[in-house]
Amino acid sequence: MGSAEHLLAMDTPRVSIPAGALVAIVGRNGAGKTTLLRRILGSQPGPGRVALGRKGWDPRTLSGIGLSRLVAYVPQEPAWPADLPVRDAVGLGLLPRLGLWRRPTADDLALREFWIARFGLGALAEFPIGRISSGERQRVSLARALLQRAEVLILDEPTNHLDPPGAAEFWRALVEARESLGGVLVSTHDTAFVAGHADWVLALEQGGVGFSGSRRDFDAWGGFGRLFASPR
Amino acid sequence: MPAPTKRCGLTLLSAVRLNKVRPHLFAFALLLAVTALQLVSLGGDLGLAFSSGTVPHRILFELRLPRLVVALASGGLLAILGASYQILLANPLAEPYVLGVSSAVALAAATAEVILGLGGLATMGTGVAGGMAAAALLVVFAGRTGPGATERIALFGMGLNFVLSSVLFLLLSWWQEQIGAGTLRWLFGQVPWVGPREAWLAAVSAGLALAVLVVSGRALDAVALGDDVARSLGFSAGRIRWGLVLVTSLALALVTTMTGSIGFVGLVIPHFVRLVVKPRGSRALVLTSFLWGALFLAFADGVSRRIAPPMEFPIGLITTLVGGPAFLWILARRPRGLG
Repeated sequence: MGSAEHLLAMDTPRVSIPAGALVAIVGRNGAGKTTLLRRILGSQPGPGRVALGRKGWDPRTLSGIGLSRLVAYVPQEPAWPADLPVRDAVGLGLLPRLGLWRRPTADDLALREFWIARFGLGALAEFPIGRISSGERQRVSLARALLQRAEVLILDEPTNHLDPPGAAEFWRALVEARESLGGVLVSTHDTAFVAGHADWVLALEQGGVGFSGSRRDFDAWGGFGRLFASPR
Repeated sequence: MPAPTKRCGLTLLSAVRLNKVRPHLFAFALLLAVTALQLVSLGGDLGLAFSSGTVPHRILFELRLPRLVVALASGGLLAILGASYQILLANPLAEPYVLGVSSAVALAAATAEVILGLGGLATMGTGVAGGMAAAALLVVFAGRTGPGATERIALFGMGLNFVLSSVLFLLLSWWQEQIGAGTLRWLFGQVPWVGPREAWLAAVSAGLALAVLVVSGRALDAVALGDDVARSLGFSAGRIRWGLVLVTSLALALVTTMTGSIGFVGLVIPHFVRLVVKPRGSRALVLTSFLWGALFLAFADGVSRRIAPPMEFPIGLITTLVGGPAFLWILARRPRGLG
């Protein structure tokens, strides 16, 4: 289990996803999307093995910098301290490599400024994060996670509280950021995003995996029509 | 405005920013006031105080200085415990008094002293044990996740505080014909007249807790983002929470066995510091909170001795008069969804 061709392999539920994919995890509320993502992150116990990334590591067996290099996580409702300036918030992505005392290098800071600029946060860099819009805040979360330079990025319904333009901007940022990642797992209800950008769809229903396959196969399976028509 | 690259280099580290001078001038003024209130008002010849053997010398070095040290240590400790509890327990209202840790120390120590008639060291030990039990209970409770978990911990702690305070009051009124000055400190908190040995103990406890939190500043930054994000950043929130809450609560419990429970310093000071000094990062928050907490409590202690001399007004009443309204204000302005 877990080889160069896999982004994610699990045996309970049985899931096997090719390397490099942008994976949309879909399903109704309560279908278990967050639970699955937290199991993959290793913060929720569960049966069976999990193999993530090129080397097929199980995140539950890792901690510290090893884990931070494998997986970055953006939760559904990130808990930002309201008075933290945007620049510092993004900079927290450097924490794994800085540890308790090391100072950031010029490269670290350049990379931080790069993501701040790339996601249009430059003008807001000194604003407290509590005072910017939800859409901007989610881009801060994304920039923070990318600065971590992990192989795999996990996002839990990142556009949940965003208006359509905010969501569109967020997805654009994510799709742009893909090239620097070994794979993305994102749970979402945004059918347009899934249709436009996902390579792989993992559909959860009744606590199990209803479908796992390429997006084209998902459409052939019945797509969202079938997924949302099924009883919970 | 300094160039951004210059400033941001140490954003996580920069302790006290030099371009924010005004709050620190204020702190300096407060420091002068504290010194004047506590030490210099000897009335007589100031020079005498520095020649050993004289009465002013003994008043200064054996009475006022130890008491000032305990006030500074206690205020600083309460402030940094507030700052770290608020991050570790993910609740802006968290602090040792509100969450019942101080009351647990007071109840255990008062039981040992008043009812069992135990001596100084045994009273201290019992008080510390009580405080650690309450702190451990909070961490266990904080480990439970799920919707509303962070709201529940504040309510849980407040409930604990109510129960423990009532039991303490009941015990004291049952056991004593009248509540004397010494017993009053268990109920309302008071900076006591102590000897140099207690002053050293308080100073070392506060210094160690401060050092531990300053070293762990970045860990606090990580835990502030929630357990799952902290995990992916390579920090074990559970272990950090246990370690830091227990170590810092131990220091606080030791000092609380001398002062009784002093309310709301841990709530008012970190919020004041965030609002006025705007520290960047937890390390700066802890350092600045310690400074302000120490000065605030020493100042309040000076005031408590001068309201109606020779009677001492319990300092806990003064801090609660300031802190109670601040508590309500924080509750009212707290934005939803942001800690």
